[in-house]
Amino acid sequence: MSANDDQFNSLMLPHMAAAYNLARWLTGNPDDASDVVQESYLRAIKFFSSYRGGAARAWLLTIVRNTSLNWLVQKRNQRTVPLNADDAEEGHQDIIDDKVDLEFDLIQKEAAATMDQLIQALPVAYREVVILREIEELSYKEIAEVIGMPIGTVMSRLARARKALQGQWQKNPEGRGV
Amino acid sequence: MDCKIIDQLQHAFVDGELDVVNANAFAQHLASCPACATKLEALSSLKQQIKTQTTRHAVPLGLYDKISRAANNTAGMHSSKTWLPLKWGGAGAGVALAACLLFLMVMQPGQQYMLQQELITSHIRSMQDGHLTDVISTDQHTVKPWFNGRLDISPPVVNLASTGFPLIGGRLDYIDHHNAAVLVYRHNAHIINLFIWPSASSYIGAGSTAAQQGYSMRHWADKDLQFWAVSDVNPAALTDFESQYRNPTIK
Repeated sequence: MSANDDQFNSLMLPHMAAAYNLARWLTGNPDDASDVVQESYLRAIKFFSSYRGGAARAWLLTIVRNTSLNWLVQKRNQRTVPLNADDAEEGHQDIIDDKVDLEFDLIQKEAAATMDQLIQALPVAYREVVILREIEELSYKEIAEVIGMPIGTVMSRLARARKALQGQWQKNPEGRGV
Repeated sequence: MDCKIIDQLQHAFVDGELDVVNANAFAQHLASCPACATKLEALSSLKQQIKTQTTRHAVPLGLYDKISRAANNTAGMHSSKTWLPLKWGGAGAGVALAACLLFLMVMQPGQQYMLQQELITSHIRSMQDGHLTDVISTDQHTVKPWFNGRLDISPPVVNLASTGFPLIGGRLDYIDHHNAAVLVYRHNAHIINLFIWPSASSYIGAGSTAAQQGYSMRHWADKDLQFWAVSDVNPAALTDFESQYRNPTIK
């Protein structure tokens, strides 16, 4: 093993918990999350020479996030009409569309949704900022780097996501007063 | 600052992302505006709920080793510019099998890391409402028999209230493929989870202190039992806890 490989291991392997957690939240199931994390590490090895220092976790999570979104696009395309392979990369845009109505239609019927269910029901664009901020505790700057958006966008998405969660969480029965 | 600005800045405020000047102005407004103060309280409470109620999914067992092995096999290829997407598993299957046989005997650093992650996850889960104890008792003569029939081990249960570590209770858990007994102790405002399970495998770093994500861990082995103490107390207090637990007669 070269010094470079040692460096990769010591910088990137400790962040596997964060990588898996993010992939699990974005893909929504454990098998796909495992595949995404493996693929992400392969990509990370491939692009490691472009790593210029700085927060290793944010760098790795950027790859995990993009790999997860690619996976979501592919999965959607499998479910619907087959599209050109080229569309997969461009398809990010509508997977991540934040113009969608932040209503919890899917879980409206449930009397008491858990926080997990509420977060899973958020559109990806909102779910990812909530996970990165509250669970992985990334700074706004790091989140902006991971999702490739300005800090202002991070802030507005976080605010909208919390508002939606708050509204739904308050509907829950006793003992959950917020 | 007026209420409208406060409304816009409240998220940055609870996230600790405001600069000092704005944070001070923000705090000043709160002190004189009950409406904004109430709103902020609701927001911090929600933030806390999200933090504590949202599952942090743990890496499945085996994935860490799989990836670190593959990383070591694949590393270097990126520089030779012949990198191709590898299909995982295939070529390394024989190696993996041999490695598995070896791993039965000795724990790898990767596994050790994952075990520690598992312990922390369990510790955090135990902090959530109603997960801490299955049997609540400060009486060691209640807690010890409770494990009978639930586990194939009888863990040593001592109450260390006189030395600052009162026993709160116990519960069952599942750690590293073992049913484990967990004794729950308190130290001031902190909870200490002591995980105990039977295993002869040699964990690295017995008698050592580890820290991850702000949690301290202390590991020791006694006869065929593995002990892991996990807490957010400082490492010194955890070391103290170990010596009290192992020599309860010393006051």
